[in-house]
Amino acid sequence: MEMQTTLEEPVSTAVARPRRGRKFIQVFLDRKAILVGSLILLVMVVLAVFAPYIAPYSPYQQDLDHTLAPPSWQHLLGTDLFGRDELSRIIFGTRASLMVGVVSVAIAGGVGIALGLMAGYLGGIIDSLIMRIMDALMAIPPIILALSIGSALGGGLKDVMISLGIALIPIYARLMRGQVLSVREADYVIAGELSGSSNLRNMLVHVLPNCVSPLIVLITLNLGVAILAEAALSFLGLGMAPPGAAWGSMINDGYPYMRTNPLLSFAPGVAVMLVVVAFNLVGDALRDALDPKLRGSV
Amino acid sequence: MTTMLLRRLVQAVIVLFIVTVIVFLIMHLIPGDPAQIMLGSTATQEQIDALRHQMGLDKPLVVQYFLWLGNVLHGNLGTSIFYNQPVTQLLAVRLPITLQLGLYSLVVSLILGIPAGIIAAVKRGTFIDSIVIFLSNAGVAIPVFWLAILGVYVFSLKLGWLPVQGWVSPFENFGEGVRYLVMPVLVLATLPLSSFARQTRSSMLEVIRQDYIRTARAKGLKENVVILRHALRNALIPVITLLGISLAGIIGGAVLVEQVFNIPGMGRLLVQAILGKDYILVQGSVLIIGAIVVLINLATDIAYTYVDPRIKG
Amino acid sequence: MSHLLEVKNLKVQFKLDGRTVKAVDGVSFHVDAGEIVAIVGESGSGKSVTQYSILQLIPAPPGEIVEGEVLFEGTDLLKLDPRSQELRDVRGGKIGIIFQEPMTSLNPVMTVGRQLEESLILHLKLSRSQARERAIELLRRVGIPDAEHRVNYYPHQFSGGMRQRIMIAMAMSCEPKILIADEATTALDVTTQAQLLELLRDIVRSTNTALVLVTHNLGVVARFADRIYVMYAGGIVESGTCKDIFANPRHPYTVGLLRAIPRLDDPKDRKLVPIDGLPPDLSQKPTTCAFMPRCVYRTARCAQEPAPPLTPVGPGHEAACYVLPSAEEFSAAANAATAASETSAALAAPVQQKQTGETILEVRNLKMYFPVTKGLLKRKVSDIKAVDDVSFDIRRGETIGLVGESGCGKTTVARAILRMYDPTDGQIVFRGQDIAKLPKKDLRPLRRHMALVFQDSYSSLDPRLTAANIVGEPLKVNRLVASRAEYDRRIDELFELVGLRPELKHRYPHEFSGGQRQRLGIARALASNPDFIVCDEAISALDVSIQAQIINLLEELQAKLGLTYLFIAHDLSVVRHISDRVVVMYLGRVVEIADWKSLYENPKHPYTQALLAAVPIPDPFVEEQRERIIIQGDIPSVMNKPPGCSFSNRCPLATKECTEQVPPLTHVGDGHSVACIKVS
Ligand SMILES: Nc1ncnc2c1ncn2[C@@H]1O[C@H](COP(=O)(O)OP(=O)(O)O)[C@@H](O)[C@H]1O
Ligand code: SF4
Ligand code: SF4
Ligand SMILES: [Mg+2]
Repeated sequence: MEMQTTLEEPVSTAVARPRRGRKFIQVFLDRKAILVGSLILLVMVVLAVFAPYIAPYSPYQQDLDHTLAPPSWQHLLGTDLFGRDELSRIIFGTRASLMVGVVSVAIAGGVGIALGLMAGYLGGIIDSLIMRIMDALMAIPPIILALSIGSALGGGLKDVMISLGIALIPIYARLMRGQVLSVREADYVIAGELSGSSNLRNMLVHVLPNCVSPLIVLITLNLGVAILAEAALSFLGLGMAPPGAAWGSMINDGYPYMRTNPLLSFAPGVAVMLVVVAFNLVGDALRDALDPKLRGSV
Repeated sequence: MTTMLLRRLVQAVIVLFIVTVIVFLIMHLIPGDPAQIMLGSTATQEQIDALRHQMGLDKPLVVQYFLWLGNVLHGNLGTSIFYNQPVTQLLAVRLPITLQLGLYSLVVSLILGIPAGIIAAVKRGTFIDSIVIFLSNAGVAIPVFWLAILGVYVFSLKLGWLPVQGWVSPFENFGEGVRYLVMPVLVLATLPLSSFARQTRSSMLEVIRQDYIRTARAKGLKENVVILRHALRNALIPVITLLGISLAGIIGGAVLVEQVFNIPGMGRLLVQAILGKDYILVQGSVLIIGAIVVLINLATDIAYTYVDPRIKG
Repeated sequence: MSHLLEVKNLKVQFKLDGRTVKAVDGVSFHVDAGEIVAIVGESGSGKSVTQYSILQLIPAPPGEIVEGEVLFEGTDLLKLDPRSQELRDVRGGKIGIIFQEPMTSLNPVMTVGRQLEESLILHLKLSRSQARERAIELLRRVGIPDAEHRVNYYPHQFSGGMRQRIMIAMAMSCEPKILIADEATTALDVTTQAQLLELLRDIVRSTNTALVLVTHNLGVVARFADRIYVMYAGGIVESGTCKDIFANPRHPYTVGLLRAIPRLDDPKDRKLVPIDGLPPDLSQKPTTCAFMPRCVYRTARCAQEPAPPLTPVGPGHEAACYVLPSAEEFSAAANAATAASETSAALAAPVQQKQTGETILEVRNLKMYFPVTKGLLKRKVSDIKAVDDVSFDIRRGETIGLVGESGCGKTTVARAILRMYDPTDGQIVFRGQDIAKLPKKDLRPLRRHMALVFQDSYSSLDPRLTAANIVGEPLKVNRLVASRAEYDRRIDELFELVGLRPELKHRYPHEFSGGQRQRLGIARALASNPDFIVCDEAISALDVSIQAQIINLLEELQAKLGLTYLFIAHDLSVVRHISDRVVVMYLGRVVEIADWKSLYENPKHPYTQALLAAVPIPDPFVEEQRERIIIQGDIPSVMNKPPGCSFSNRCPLATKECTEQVPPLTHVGDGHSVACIKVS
């Protein structure tokens, strides 16, 4: 062969490095926090999906002879004002919580990412307009914004999802815009352009995939935020209609019986905290695992 | 630099304008007729029509908006449907209470959160660091209203150290006022405190790796001089960005905390107004809150140019 | 005799991801008062870690000083607590240090004055006002004009060269006994680099301070050092006086380095001899000679015995090698290497008498202005004339070198030619068609005939695509292959063409080394069979031994495929080596164009002369003979060019006429054009 003089560099160092996927998993699992977080989430999802089979009682079944019962073997966490089993209601509450979290983040993410993409890619007056609207949305505290929209829409579970979705849009739009702006200028995107790629292809092949990591992290962390907000809204009386089980409203319902039955308020709060902590743990671990600096570039 | 500030000012005005549009639009999404709501179900159609005309509700939405905006610019936020009192009057009593709560919480979270973040970063990987990480992670995951209830249970009901609920102005009776303030302020400070601690820790860790910190050490400076004089100021830059968002969060949290502690601030008023569809009161209050947040953000931007000389020019 | 500083058997390691990187593995060296000692080696060889360890400045964890002694004025500095008063007195007080990155080594939120005063107050116990006075004096000393005012400036208000001057002032402020300069001039332009090195030498000579010059640039070493230590893979492989090392190198690595770099005084047809392979991974360092896998002199003994110790090979000259080849053996091996590449003599020949064909690219009066906006409404108030009236042409099969210092518009020219920008004015005639104003969509079919090789091989490869997908992108988007099988075949072919094994094609960019990634970038550029390739600082980020590999690859590909290159670089020796003709730019304008020989042997423009004078030659004997005119001052920003000739404020020949009009590029014979009114 003619190319003798360009001897190949030995690849020993490259071989020693784990492949991309493995490295990701390794960094991810290196953090024990992630295991705890994933486990909690798994349990929660199972509880939500199989609630009717797992919960000892129906969440609506009243037992007016045993109202405000203290914890016992029949009712591990006691019963509420109507004699409903607190534990069963918490288990069923997982459903509303997770559903609101997922749906509202999906709305926020979908709309926010699209807006951010548009703002970042098109620039100019459209960019300014979109971003000023986002600034305005951010100027109203999310709880108040969601409360206003939710109540204006009617106040049901569906309205809570929509209103929370709207309140969280600006975060995604901002992040996405920033990402697009930085990635668009990257050498590898320019290289794609110089290869003769169309704008669309460039967007899909180079820009979008490279914007994804921080979005995944944000989505994970935001699920926790949305669940927290849902609890707050239902604490204030918005969301699932009365007999339904939602953690926030359970905390509120239990509040008057603090002196005698503190668990009625505390237990659902612990549930909220567990889910949120779990999402945060997973989110933080994802952040580290997806960080290209940590992905063994040497 | 003046150009930049001027540009930010114009932006702030535009944002505020958009806030008014958003607030107005949300309130007019409400199904049902405000006049009907005000008069109750016993009112006759004539009475309703008369009130609608009086309130300008029979005009097109755009006209209504500009009428409202015109009034707002004249300092007239309208009259609450529920209280039948001018919104400005209602807010004049309640806003100061909420602002106090928010301000005290902000101060508490800054003076506790930033040092906690610094210490955690400097002692990275030690027990102290783990504690700070644990507490700040918990702090961003705890529902505020739940923490408030927990506080009431422990400190008021069980220990009896603090009052269960209510409000006494510290300006009228300082000792009593503080007793009523302690718990709401601490509860409200939890979330911003945790995020300040987290942000300070991570930006401090980032800054400590920078070349200029190595330069400072190579000069022979004491470690605490290196940290406080060289690292801290750089590390605080991203923390400042957080201020605006935290303030919005604190006001949002105040809504919940006032609810639990039964504090007669703007938050409680607002919740009642929203749930009671007193849209004039809501419009007015949300607008004021938006204006406060926008102003704080503007102030943050100005503070920025002082902390980071690179922004000038 | 005891030395001012003596490092004995220093070992430093970093623990990362469960691996232990032995960054410094048994290094010993000494420094005497007033001498200039150079530490030379490629990046990652442990030069910086060695120096930082002396003052315990390495980040710990993950770093750890495992063993060794650092004797300074009778004390072992490693025994001191890093926070102790004693060590802090040495840091900055008795040993000053200048770091590589001028842009990041100063605190951005503190005025330079305060940063200077800090040391003075700390070590010399000056009062605030005394310190201020002294700070201004120091700034003046290192050549900062208008020091009284600038002392209140923040770092971002200075250029890179200025900041490095400030770093020098800071490190020298307390009159240390030793000054360590870690790649202090590497990030700077040649003329600035030359100014700063002279400044450093003058200062240390006048104060009898010892200077430790850490660098990978052999030219710098040849001119300034008294003694040299050569480092490789965490150890010292050779040490001796400057002249010994250059005239009589004994370690195969030292010889390899000298052979791999092009020199300003090379014969043009000299073939660079790269050192094949890569330095070892320091976390899996073999116990045998670390250089063995890349060494052409290795014997059975090298493979069996532990790493060779440093042994004397002459007075004050040591080398760590069992074989210690002699000068004759080295030249014999060099001849053999040349002979080996004689097989590719068929290639080498046309390289020398290159047949250049018709004009492939013609740049006429190219202007690229960027608007400067001001005020609330972002009104355009003026232009940054990044490229101002540039004309040149390129013939098929030749290499045009484009040189100039940073900010002079080289990259902008390249980007305008490739139509990454819309030129403000002028024509770019490519393959007979003016593409300067062509709309983007009409450009797309032309893209396959031109390609770009980027400077930063890492950022130019999409981290989420495999090597095959990256190289194959031009094939796909231009539909250059008919079938999947053809595509795969073509990818393999491209990999082989640039010297990469096709098996590697499923890997991701971060799994390749820097040199390999640059090969990938070249493979991608070649994929669509372009005639014309722009290499924008394509080798600048690579280590010298790897640089030589890539330069040779580019030359071979040109011979084989008849490519035309626009080769942009700031390293004038490399440009001389590879180019047929050279274009010199200064502040957005072309100041001189000529074939390489006339340009380097008979430069006519005062700027070209100054530029060439500033390039160090890796040979102490040549350097001794050279007289140099070092131009003063900094390059002004393109925003405030002086009127008339842009060079007039620094030009030694400047007269009043020079400021009156812009001298046009004038042909002075033999394809040599110059833009200077004093040259005709
Ligand atoms: N802070 C650090 N963390 C981990 N490894 C490091 C660190 N600093 C240096 N190293 C490693 O030490 C080795 C030598 O580095 P260095 O002294 O910077 O080389 P040089 O100055 O010769 O370019 C390299 O392998 C590098 O990866
Ligand atoms: S000891 Fe052997 S392998 Fe090492 S440099 Fe000498 S000859 Fe080469
Ligand atoms: S025109 Fe004048 S200033 Fe410019 S290079 Fe020639 S002599 Fe120097
Ligand atoms: Mg180094």
